[in-house]
Amino acid sequence: MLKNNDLYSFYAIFKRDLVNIVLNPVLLISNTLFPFVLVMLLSYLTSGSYGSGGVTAYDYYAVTILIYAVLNTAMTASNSFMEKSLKTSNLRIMYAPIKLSHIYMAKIVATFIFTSVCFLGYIIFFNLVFGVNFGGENLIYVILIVLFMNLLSSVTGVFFCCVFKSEELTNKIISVVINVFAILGSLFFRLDGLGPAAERISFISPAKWAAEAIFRIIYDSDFSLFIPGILMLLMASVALLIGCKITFKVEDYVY
Amino acid sequence: MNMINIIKNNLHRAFALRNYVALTMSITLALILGATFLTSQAQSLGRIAVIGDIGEIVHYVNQFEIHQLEEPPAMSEMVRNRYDAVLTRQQDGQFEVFTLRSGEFKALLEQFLDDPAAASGIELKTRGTATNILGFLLMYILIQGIMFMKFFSEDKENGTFKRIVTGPVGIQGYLASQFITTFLLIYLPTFTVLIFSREILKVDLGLSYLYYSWLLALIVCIAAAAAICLTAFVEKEDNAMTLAGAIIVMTSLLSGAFYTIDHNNLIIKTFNSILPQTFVGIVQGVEQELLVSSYLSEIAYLLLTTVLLFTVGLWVCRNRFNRGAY
Amino acid sequence: MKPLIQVKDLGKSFNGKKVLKNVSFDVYEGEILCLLGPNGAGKSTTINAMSTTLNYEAGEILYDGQLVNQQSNFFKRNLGLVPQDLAIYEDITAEKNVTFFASIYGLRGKELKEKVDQALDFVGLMDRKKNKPKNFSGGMKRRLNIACALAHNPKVMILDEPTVGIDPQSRNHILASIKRLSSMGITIIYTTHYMEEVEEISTRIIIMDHGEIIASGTKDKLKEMLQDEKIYYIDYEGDYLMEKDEFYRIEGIKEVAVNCKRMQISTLKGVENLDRIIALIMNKGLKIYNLSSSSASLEAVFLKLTGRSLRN
Repeated sequence: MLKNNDLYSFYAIFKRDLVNIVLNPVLLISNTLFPFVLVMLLSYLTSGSYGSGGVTAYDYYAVTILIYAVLNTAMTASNSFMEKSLKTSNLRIMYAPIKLSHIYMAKIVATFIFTSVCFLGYIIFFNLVFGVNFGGENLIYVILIVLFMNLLSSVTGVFFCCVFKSEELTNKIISVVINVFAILGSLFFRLDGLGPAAERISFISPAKWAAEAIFRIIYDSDFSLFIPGILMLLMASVALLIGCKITFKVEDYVY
Repeated sequence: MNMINIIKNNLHRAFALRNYVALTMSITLALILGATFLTSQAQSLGRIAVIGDIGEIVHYVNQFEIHQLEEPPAMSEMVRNRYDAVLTRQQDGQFEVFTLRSGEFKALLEQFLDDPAAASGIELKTRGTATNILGFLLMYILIQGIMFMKFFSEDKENGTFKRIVTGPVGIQGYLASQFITTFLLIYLPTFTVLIFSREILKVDLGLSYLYYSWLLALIVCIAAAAAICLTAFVEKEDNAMTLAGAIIVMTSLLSGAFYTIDHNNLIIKTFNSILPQTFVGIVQGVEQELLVSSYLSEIAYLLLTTVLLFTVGLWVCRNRFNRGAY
Repeated sequence: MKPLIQVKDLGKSFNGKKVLKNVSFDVYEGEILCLLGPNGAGKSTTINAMSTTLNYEAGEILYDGQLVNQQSNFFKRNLGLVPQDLAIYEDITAEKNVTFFASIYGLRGKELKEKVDQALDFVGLMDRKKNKPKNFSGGMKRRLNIACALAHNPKVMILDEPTVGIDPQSRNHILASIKRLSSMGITIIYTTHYMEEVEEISTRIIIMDHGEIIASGTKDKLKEMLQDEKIYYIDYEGDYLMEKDEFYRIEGIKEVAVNCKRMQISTLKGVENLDRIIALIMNKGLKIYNLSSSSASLEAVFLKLTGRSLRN
């Protein structure tokens, strides 16, 4: 009975969090329209870099911007947790007889589900309308990498909120980090062609690894980075979840 | 006098952001170093992987970056632009050309293989150090504009905006104070980092401090004015940040802040000429030691854009205030 | 009668400063216990400790004989807390707000709907249940804030300054609601720094200052402390700030509190010293524009106990 109530409470909180995200027009647009426009723009600007061999600029940017959008999930997560107008009402829940972990877990799950649906829609759209190659029969592997990365992003946003206790500060730091990772990962323009030094630096960026893994699966049917990648993403997510448990203290928000 | 008080108050409030200012200075330094590094890399028409004997191609490494490989690179490497083309030596001594790039590039490559001397006549478009530095900093400065306009957002949200503007300073004076605060919070740390880069790290900045002083001032003015305009439209600070980020990223990419846009599309060209980020063209002009008159109109355009953005922001704010929004 | 909640020797420090010092009191079922004190007295800290959201270094808190920090869910299930800051979602309807907060206490289905309607009806927002709080007045938002804590039928309600910044009509509505809740058997713990509210609704009062309980009891019992005294309230104009010592030279004066526009002077009944008080004030060039007196009041009790006005 108790366990039932536990799950029910979690479900109630998760539902509220999901609705909060969906009702936020900025979050909705930044997870749907913005990546789409970015792909169109970059593909058009760099259309000269592709044209032969059956690969278009859309094939490149649809993948890289998908990775960029997944990185930005961290900002959606932090917004859903501690955005100013939601913070006091979200934290009122801590007076209720629920597990404290439900408070941040619900945000993680809500963000993950919302953004995953957006990204799956994105993949379907670009595949059907622009014929973007997402791996064909290997599509499931690409989707799994995207989903695990999305999970890590969702946890990251919430974790930093637990640490900084402020969505504003979290987003300021995360947005800079994301854009640096995006540039180093050649998500907007290639860095690889700038020599061995640039290439070495680019390996700092998780975006680089994700792009590498996905492009290898799609074009080389090379799964060498798949299992290590998934494992690393999973381990990092678990580590940050533990971090949330350690850093989220209710009394930081009442005193 | 009242404006000075507002500016002083904002700078006191900014003291709480000192950690963040330190972080922005670190990122500015990283961008400067990255841009300098980028400039030092040789530009080329493309990276070519050669399978088999390079032969006479080796004489033309100035135009192309040639890499000799034993096996063809993976398709994913081609897609990721690690190589622009693969030349495979055939049994008859000819090269088979494989590229994912456009037909024009393939034709260029084939022409080069037929008539190598012709390639030496092709001019490489290079960007100067200052162009790269300010181009890379451009997007970041525009984002900082929004970030440091937070005092305006905060004042609107907590009611102090109404309190201040019903005093003698008025909305105009208040927004001018915010403009100046944001300008100082971006300009001073960025210029400090430039000085640090040159004097301590011995980085070649490409231009003198005098040139940087007004070029930087120009773009920081745009950033502050754009921030006022956007913050006037969007009430919540978080939403302003997200929206601004999206607009800035897209317009910066479109304007060639990171790399030279060479598109013949009329719409792109027109759009390019409207965007304030085309200030990169002014920097290029300065670096190429062109006459001031050749880019004076761009400078005037940017200053006008600054005034326009500020005026629009002021108008929106005043309108909302009179309707009782605050 | 056995207390429902027992607070024993509660101690809490923050940044090296003791903010609660050996706070002990009992709460009985069905009563309205008011925690009265100025800002910073420790009222919110006490109730946060009671609601298990704040750790404390010393003491214990029992609910129905069980330690609250060991059986926190048991206590929380029976607790409805109305926080001082509005904690409602502005962009969803009043009904959805209450539904959400009730559902996390395990209510569902038909029972949930009934309880939500009852709670909204109780606070007088039934006809606005489909409207969003962003269009509500401050008083209506406060009432919704209460409804969100009510729907799950708590046995204990803690209200932390629920009437801050609202119009008198809404305040009266809230106070009337609290009295009704108490008549329904719900135990109320109410914090405020408005003694008029305490006068109106309290069964028992605890007066706190600087993290300590300085007095407790019913209204009448506390006022007995001043049975021999009366208070003069003097509103004045002028630049000169009176020193308390200047008044203590006048016979019969017990306590004085001065702020920039109002003085409260506690004096013994039967000693005719009003003329000397007025003369002293006017000799300093100050103009008196209002003067009133009362016998014992809670504000006067606070003044006597601390030497300060409750509103300082």
